[in-house]
Parts: sequence; structure tokens; C-alpha cells
Amino acid sequence: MTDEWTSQLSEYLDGDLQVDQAQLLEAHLATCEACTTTLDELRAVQERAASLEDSEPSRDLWSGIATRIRAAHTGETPVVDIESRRPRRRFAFTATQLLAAAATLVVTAVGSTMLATRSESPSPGAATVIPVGIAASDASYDTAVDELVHALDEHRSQLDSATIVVLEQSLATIDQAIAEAVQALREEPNDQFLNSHLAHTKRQKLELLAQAVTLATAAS
Amino acid sequence: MDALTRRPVSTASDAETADVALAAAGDARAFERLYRAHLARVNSLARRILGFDDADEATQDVFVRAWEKLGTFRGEAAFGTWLHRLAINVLLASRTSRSKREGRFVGDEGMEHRAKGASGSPELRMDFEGALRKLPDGAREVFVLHDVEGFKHREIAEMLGVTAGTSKAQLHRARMSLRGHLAG
Ligand SMILES: [Zn+2]
Repeated sequence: MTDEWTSQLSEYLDGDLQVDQAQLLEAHLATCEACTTTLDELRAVQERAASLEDSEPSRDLWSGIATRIRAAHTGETPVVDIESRRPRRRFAFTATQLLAAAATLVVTAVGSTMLATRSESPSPGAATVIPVGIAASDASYDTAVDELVHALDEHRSQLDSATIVVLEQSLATIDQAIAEAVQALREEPNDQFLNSHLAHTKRQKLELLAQAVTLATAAS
Repeated sequence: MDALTRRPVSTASDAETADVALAAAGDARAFERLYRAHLARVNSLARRILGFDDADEATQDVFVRAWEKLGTFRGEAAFGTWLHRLAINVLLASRTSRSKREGRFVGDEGMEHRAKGASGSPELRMDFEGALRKLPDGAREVFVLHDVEGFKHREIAEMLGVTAGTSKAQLHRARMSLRGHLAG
């Protein structure tokens, strides 16, 4: 049941009516049971709306989001989508990638330490392993590292301080891992795992440096 | 009822503040924690404004946009409030493009027709949220923004591109329609 007053009830409920309008409506409410009932119902609807419970979706939405924001948290190939990000966030974003790299390297370094202190007995397959020639590749490797370090120094000012801290920590970790692997290899030169571990770690250093240089030069 | 009391008041703990900073610096794990904390709020809002079919995808849109815009978050409001407002902008924009795409008329035609039916027989009775979803877009949006989310008519008018008078009228019509669905 409605009458010409019904349409004002919501505004009245919300305190949006002018004082004189509200007074007229109140006078009507005193005599109209239908409007009084409707007003109570509208108030109940309003209260119900204010107490609705939130609930989570039934399916996972994060993986789709993660893909779209290109979060490299899976440890896969770091993505530096420079064009899609505003300049002021570009280098902070890369700090995460460097941190992820550093985390990988910490694991690597721990593995290296464990190897260095493990049992004296030679690994079963040691005799059949073809040594990875560290010395043979050292010259070109060192040249590449030198070039990257040089390039990085030139563009260092383009990286923010947080990124530099992460980068330096990562490089320190990686250098330690390399030193430990070299030390362990002096005792077991033919160990396949140690050799591939060293090669992997050195490659990581190159990649980390290359990544840092890419980021730094992209900023200039 | 003060609108502010209905806004998602921040649960802004130190941990959340830290996560906001980390996420703004590109930390996806920190952003995932923010996502988990605010998922129910955003998804429920999306469900009420857009309906079930589009809510999940729109929720993803909201968080992707939040990630992109985190750099503009200055911290003068709580993160939850900032995210909430951003969510409404994204959802309303999505609603507009969706209705264009589907050739839908964003209006209140057929309202009595669609939302009534229920108050009659018990077996046909919809619960409150079900009845809310059945409201025509215009009435539902105003109702959600005003009575669920706590915005004022002048704010809603601006968001929806209507007059405050229209917003008031839509609210009244929505409330009138929902009266019969308070039980569920
Ligand atoms: Zn009356």
C-alpha cells in the first residue's frame, strides 16, 4: 500500500528531507499505518545492507593476477617489462628480481659449503667424469665479467640505492660461492657436480651483472 | 549513519604498511598478502555491482590496476580505503564497457517485473543478495554504493553520471523492492 507520502520515506529515513517536509511527513505517519510499516521495512532493508557479509570467490584468482603483473616470484626468467612501468618504479621493481637471484645464490652457496666439508671419499662416478675445463674458459669469462663490471660502474648512478645494496650482496654471495667451489675442486678436480656447480654459479654471476647493466643503461 | 563508518576502515597494521611499501617497490609476494587480506571485500563488491558472471575477472582487473597504481598511493588514506575506491572506479568502468558490449540498456526498465515475483510463494523466494542481483543495474548500483558501501548521493551521482535526485529515487525504488527479501 502506497500513497503520495511513500516516495519520501527513504529520504526521511536518511535525514535528507527539509525540516518542514519532515514535520509534515511525521504528522502523516502519526495517522497512516501503511506508511509507518513501510518506513520500518525500509529501515530493515537499510540495516540488512549494512550488515552483509563479504565472502571470497570459489576459485583461485591469484594465479591469473600473478601472470598479468608478471611477477617473477616463481624464480623463472625475470621479466623486466620496462615500457609498461612508470619510470619512478622501474628500478625499485628490479630490486625484487635481484633479491630473487640472491636467494637462489644463497642456496647455491650453502650447497657449495656442504660439498666442501663433506666426506673425504671420492664420489663413485668421479673416475669417469670428464672435467669441465675451468682454466680453458677462464680468460673469456673474466673478460666478460670485467666488461660488465665496467659498464655497470659507468651507469651505476641510474640504479637506486636499494637495488645497489641488493646487487652488491648478491655479487658477494656469488663470489663466495665461486671461491668455495674452486677450493673444493682443488681437492676433487674431477667431481662432476662441483664442476657443473661452479660453471652454473659463474654463469649466474654473468647473468646477474648483465641484468643489472641492462637495467642501468635502460634508465639513462 | 555516517558514511565513514561503512567504508572499509583500514586494518592498517604495521605489517600491512610494510607490505604496501614492499609491493610498491615491486615485491609480488607482499602484494599477494595484500590481495589475500582484501580479496573478500573486493570480490563481494564486484559480485554485488556486476553479478557472479563478471565478478571474478573484474576482481582480477582491480588487483592488476592496484599493482600498477600502487606508486600513486600516498598513504594519506588507509590502503583499504584507497583500494576500495579504486575498485569502485574499475568496476563501474567495467560495467559501462560491458553494457556497451552486450548492447544492454543501463536503466531501470522492468524493475517491478524483475524484482517482484519473490514476495509471494515461499519456494520462489529469493534471499536478500539474490534479490539484490535481480534489481535493474541503475537501482542496484545506487543501492550498493549507498546502503552497502556508505557513499553519499552527491558522490554516487558523480560516479554514475546521474543527478543526486536520480540517485535518491533509485535508492528508494531499490529499497522498496528489497523489502520482501529480508528473510533470506
Ligand atoms: Zn501514508
